[in-house]
Parts: sequence; structure tokens; C-alpha cells
Amino acid sequence: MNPFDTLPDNCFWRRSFSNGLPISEPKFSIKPKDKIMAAGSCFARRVTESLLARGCNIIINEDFDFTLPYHIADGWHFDRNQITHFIEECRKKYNYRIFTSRYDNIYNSVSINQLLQRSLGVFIPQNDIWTRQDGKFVDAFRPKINPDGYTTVKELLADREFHLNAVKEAFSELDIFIFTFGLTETWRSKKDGAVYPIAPGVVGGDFNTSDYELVNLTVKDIVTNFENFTRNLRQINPNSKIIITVSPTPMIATARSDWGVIEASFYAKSTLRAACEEIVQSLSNISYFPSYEIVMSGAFMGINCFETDGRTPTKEVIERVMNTFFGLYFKQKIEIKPKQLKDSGLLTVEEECDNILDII
Amino acid sequence: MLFFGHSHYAVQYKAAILQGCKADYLYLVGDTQAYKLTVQEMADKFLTLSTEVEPPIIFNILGIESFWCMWNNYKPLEFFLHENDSVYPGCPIVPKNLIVSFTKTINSSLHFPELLLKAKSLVKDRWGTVSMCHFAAPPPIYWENMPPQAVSLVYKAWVVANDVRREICETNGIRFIDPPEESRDQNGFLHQKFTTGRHHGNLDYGHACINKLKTLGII
Repeated sequence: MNPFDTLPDNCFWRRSFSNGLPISEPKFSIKPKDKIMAAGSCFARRVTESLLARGCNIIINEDFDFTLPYHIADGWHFDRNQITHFIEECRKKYNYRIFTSRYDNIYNSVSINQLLQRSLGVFIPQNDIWTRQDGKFVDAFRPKINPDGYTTVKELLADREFHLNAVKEAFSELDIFIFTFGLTETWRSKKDGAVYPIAPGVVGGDFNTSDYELVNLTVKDIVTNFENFTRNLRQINPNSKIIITVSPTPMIATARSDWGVIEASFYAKSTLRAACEEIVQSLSNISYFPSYEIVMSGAFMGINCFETDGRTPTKEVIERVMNTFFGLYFKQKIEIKPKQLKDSGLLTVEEECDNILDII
Repeated sequence: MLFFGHSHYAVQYKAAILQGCKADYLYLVGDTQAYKLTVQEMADKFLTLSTEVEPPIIFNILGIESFWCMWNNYKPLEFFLHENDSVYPGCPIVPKNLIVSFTKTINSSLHFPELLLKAKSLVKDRWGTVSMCHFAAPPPIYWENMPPQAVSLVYKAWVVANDVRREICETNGIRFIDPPEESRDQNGFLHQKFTTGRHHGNLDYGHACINKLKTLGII
């Protein structure tokens, strides 16, 4: 008798490898009706995209959608493909449907906790608006969300108010929160600890060491902040379940000059992975999904999982990750239903036009 | 004079006749695709005009601001028309450029720029000098129980629609005529006394348009 005698096959490399390195069963499953909110780094965008494509009940509460009722679209002979294409292009350009709400990439647990706190009005950062070189304004917490920039601070604040309400609503109603950790390096305000996704000065604002500092988060930082986030979330949504994962996408740059992007990336991913394990061990109703491992294990199996830039996961590996995700978490099949269109009952233009011509 | 385009010309035409003007009209509705008339269909219709028709040519194309209230599952949205603008509380804010792009896309879907250019060349071929203008669609019309956020959106969308068309017209050397000032109420909407239904001006509005054309020396 030894401790390995009773372990399942996937605990052993040889048996597991011959079986395609299967992933162990998660702590809970997702029901088709469960409301899902997704956030995280750029890999989380692919997760959201896949959840939407597979008909999951993902919350999208900041959207740009102008679907004409069919009887109107047909009556006026609009080129539906042209309008649909336009709407899709707008969504891409202005970052709609990238995530549940328009918060853009969120790379770490400090940021997600601060987003929740900002949406609840319990954290109001001092330096939250940056000015671009062209004089337009950007939201310091999502500087790329509106590529046109805001013409006035008033416009930015109005948009942010709606956004934070949407975030609060999503956190309040979700059943499942999926968060993808991406980075450990981050930019922090020295005044109040606010954490920014992009270094001041890159898209807007101006970097100076009296206001901002580079921080490389430790396992402890990540765990503590995620514990705080979970506690805050469950105060407004006690039954929420959380799935955490680590993005396999290497860093695009490190802000530290004493090491290279390769060391920085491996430090970041290792730290995030270690933090995830502590989080899963210390909190209830949190499951870890190994997207990082699935992608990186491609190297063990002789599969090229990245595009020629060595950084972007291939479509095939993303598909593999998501197939694994769906196989593990969705025990019931999701039925994709076409969007139901209702008659708005507002259009009488043609009738009115005919009436007018009758009087001539 | 010749009024041609979509439904808004109807009351202008009738008012012109009642004011003793010599006027004709050409309704730009295609045989197969209604308002989405092709350039060729328009050219064919032009050939049917009587030889007695004379300039000026008053072009009217349907207003597109009302589309914003027709979207299914209508969800209010807002945008800042100008720096000092205000928005209806609680609505999602979209960038103004998005509204401008959308307006251009709808115009393009209706072949507006192509129809305008073709009309210009048809007029030039027939009468030599171009005496053609584009009359803006009437201001939006308020209807009972209109959601307040729709009031704000439709008015702003109408302003953008006019700005987009004004730019297309002016780029192509065609004068763009705004609706008569007196036809608008304090909110910029078509004054109730000038309305009929939810989309069109009435005969009094038609008279106001003709009077404006006279004041501007176009007729």
C-alpha cells in the first residue's frame, strides 16, 4: 500500500499523457440558465466571445444594438447585411460586447476589487480622468474604451455613471463570475492606491513618479485582494460562484529594466497560478479552470499553440480550451435560440405617406 | 418648379400650387423596392417628366431620425450633440461619431449620395445650369406619451441627419435648405400646428416651406 495506489489515472503523467492530459472535474457545474459575467485580461475576451457564440446566458448590459423589426427592414428594403456589418464594426471599434459591461481588460485582483468598489460607490479614486495629447479626455480605468476620446469631462462622467451602474447590476445578478488573471505588473496611484490597466502617459495622462508607481504584485497581494473582492461580491450576491483562470498570453512588455519580458512573463504566470491555488483552497464556491495549462501543455504534446508572433494563442488552441471548459462545466446542453423580434408598433410612415399623396 | 423625392415634398407641392406657382412632382418610389430607389430607376422616372417642367428643382429625401424610435426592443440611448449638451439621465451614452457613422450608413443604404449626384447630372443635362436644392426633412414630431428619452434622442438624431446631408449637399454644390424657423417649437420639434401624424408636416408647413423658398429667392 502506498499513497498513489488509490489515485485516478489523471494523477499520473504516463497514463494521463496517453489519454490527452485530461483535466480533473470542477467543484460545480454551470446550468444553461445561469447568468454569467466574464472579466479579465485579453484572453478573457476570447472566453466571452466563445460563451456568446455558444449561446450561454452571458450578461451583456452595455450594448450597441439597433435591430430593426423584420417587417420594417423588409418594407424599407434596407440592406440588412450592410446594417449588421456596420453594427458589428461599431461594436469592435467602441468595445461593446467585449465583456459583460464596457470595463475593458482587467488584469489583476486589485483592479477587479476596485471596479466592484467603485460601482458600489465605496471607492472614489482621486485621479480618474486623463487628458490625451489631442485634448480629448479618457477614463483612466478604461482608457481605450472610446477610441474617439471624450470631448468633455461631463460626457466622460455621464458615460462612466451608466457604466458603473451596469457593473453593479451585473455583479448583483450574476450566478457565475469568470475571471481571467493576466498580469502582475501594474500601475498604482501613490495617493490612494488606485490601480490602472495601462501606464499613465501611454493613452492619456502623464507619467510622473510623484503620482504613480510600478508595482509587481506578489502572491499575497493577489490572494488578499481576491479574498476582499469575493467578500465584497458576496455581500451583494451571496450565492455567486466564481471560476478563475490564468491567461496563457505572455506579457507584451515589462516595465522593469533589470529583466526581460520572458522572465517577467514566467514570473507573472507562475505567481498568478500559485495565487489561484491559494484562492481556491481558502474560499468556497471557487473553481480553477486550467486554461493556462491547456495551452502551455501543447509544447509537451508537440502542438504549436501560438501564432507566429509567439504570443497570440491560435484559434485551434482557444477552441480546445473552450471545448474543455464546456465539457467540464456544462453538463446540460445549451439550446441556441434565435433572437425573438417583436413588433414595436411605431411605424406608420408608408401609411402616412399614402394618406398625404391622397390629398394631392 | 419640380419637387422630387420622398413623401415630404407632397405638402410643399400642394402649397406651391395653392400659391399659384407652376409646379410638378416626381415621387421617388421604386417599383420593386419602395424607398430604396436605384439610380437607374430614378433616371427612368426622369424621362417621364413633361417637357413643360422647369427649374428650380426641390429635392426631398425622407428623414431618418425616426428610425431611432423604430428599433425593435427599443432601448433608449443618448449622445452629446455638442459640448454644452445635456443627456437624459440613466441612458447609455454612445459616442457622437457612432451616431454620425450610423446616419451615413443608413443614407448609403438608401442610396442617398448616389441619387443626389445622379439627380444633379440629370438636371444639368436637361436644363443646363443647375438650380437645385435639397429641402431638409421636417423637424421631428412629438407624439403623445413619447418616452422622454426618445424626445431627446430623436431631436439630436435629426440634427445629425441634417448635418450629414448638408455636408453631402454642400460638397456637391447643392444648396441645403433648413426647415422654416417658425415651424419649430421651443424644443426644436415641429410645432404641433404644423403636424399631421407622426412623420409629416401638414399643408400649413408646406406653405411655410414655399414662403421660405421665396424669401431665399429660390422661387
